[in-house]
Amino acid sequence: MKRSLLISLPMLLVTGFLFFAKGHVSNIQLYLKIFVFSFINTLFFLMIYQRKVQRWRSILFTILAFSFVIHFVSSLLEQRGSMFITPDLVYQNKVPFCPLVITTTLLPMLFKKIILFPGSLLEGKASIGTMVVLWMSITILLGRGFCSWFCFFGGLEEGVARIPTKSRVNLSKTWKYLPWSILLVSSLLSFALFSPVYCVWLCPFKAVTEFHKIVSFESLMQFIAFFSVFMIFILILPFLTKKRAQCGYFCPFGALQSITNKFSLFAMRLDENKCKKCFLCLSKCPINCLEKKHVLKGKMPFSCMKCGSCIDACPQKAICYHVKGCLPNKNYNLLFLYPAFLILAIMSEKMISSALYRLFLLITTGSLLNG
Amino acid sequence: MEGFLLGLFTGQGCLVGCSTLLIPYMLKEGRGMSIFYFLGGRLISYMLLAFLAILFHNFLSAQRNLFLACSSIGLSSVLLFRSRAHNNKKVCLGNIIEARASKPLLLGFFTSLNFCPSLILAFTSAAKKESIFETLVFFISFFIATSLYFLPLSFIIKLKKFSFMEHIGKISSYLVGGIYLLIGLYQLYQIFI
Repeated sequence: MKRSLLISLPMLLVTGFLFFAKGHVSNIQLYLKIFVFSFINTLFFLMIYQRKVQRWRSILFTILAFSFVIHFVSSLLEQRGSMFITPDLVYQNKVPFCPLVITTTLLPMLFKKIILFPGSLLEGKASIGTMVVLWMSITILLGRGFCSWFCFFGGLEEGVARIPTKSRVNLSKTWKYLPWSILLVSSLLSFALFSPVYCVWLCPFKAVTEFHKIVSFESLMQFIAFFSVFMIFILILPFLTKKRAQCGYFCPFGALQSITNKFSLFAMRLDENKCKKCFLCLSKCPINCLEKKHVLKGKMPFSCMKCGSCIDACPQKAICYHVKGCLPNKNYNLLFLYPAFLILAIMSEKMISSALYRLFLLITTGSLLNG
Repeated sequence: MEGFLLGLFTGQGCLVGCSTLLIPYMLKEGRGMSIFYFLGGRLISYMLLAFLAILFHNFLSAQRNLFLACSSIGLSSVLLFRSRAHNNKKVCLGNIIEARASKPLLLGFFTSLNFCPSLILAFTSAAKKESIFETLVFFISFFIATSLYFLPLSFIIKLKKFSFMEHIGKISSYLVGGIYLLIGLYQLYQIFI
């Protein structure tokens, strides 16, 4: 207990500094901030105390995703009055940039020096270059851990997958190649057509963020396409399979992040001496990337999201986080958890505080919007 | 010379446009497919276009959308219907031609009929030539120049040694095939309805 408290103290100090060092806020916003700060640090303490990564990460990750949707949609309604993207907003760079766009903008950016998605960040205060630098920094540190500790969309399906008590459907292994195919096809098509094909046609998260108004047959088709993907991969399949179906079987950005696992500082490590080959970890992997062959070879899979499910599931404590190129050390778990959890905490604080404030407004004024 | 220069300057567009179809197909077929079969298909298509440019330039210009729709559907058919020759154990000339040559040839043929900007330029320039010989020379030189950009794609076949690449190529072929089928049908819908 004392050890866990001591280990949690740096996180408490750093998050305290980051959360409260900002400008003036109203009393209610301050109380909400204090609540979120306490909540986030309690989760971190429990993660250390119980040595269960996925159990507590998943709670914060899911709340982050739902809070993001509330925060984002209410902000849009406040600023634009609707969730629609208009051509004017696109030309004025007022469409927010998200990391998923990177997959389709990469080739034209590298070969033609053209940015297909001229969006912005932080309400116009930062350009997409900021997002690329942020993405690269987190990627070097976490690799595909980005999908479990940063992505503000993944928690939606993770939340849905937590609802049923057991899985009803198993997805075929062949479908694991679909994200790679979507990555290949959408990147090449975007390059050929000079249009962010994935964002325009397929991105399921448009259903809960922003999308083009239906004014033509083409925009109707786009709506049907991304809404179907949302229904299938965010709601139906996660509910039936208890897996993060979109992350494991659809998302091209996830596929791209798998490649970055090769360069990141941290990796998962399976201790062959401790492992009793019970294969309990296999069924817990949220994207089905961990297979029997990996456990038998003592090698963790290429597309691992570093979510910690296998760590929680292993009764022998044979799986842990590891720093590449170093000798095994049990403290590497902490070395990974500090930056990873801090990234998740920074993302969560603003979103959760804002979402709670919006809900408070909804209860007191009957509207999610300010004023 | 004019055709060669035009091909050299616009060939990047051909590569970018065609690689969406070609890369998934090459990953799927692996060693069974050579880039030269694809280029052969393009050559046949260009020869056909050379004749058409002289004979039916006005008609083709007017019916460009119909042409595009048909070639899109043709392309999607090649990508969607997988070669059955993989399961065929008998080795004879006919099988080899079917397995190794016919599908990439068709792919190259239909891809070239998709009037991309560089081809439209070539087609318009060729139509101004006075004799069929000049038009043929123009298209052959245009083909040679644009083909130079495709040669580096041969390395894609080497990726076939990774078994998962075949799966990715197969699924990607279906995806691209599906996209082109929808594009073709949509174009037909716009023409006739």
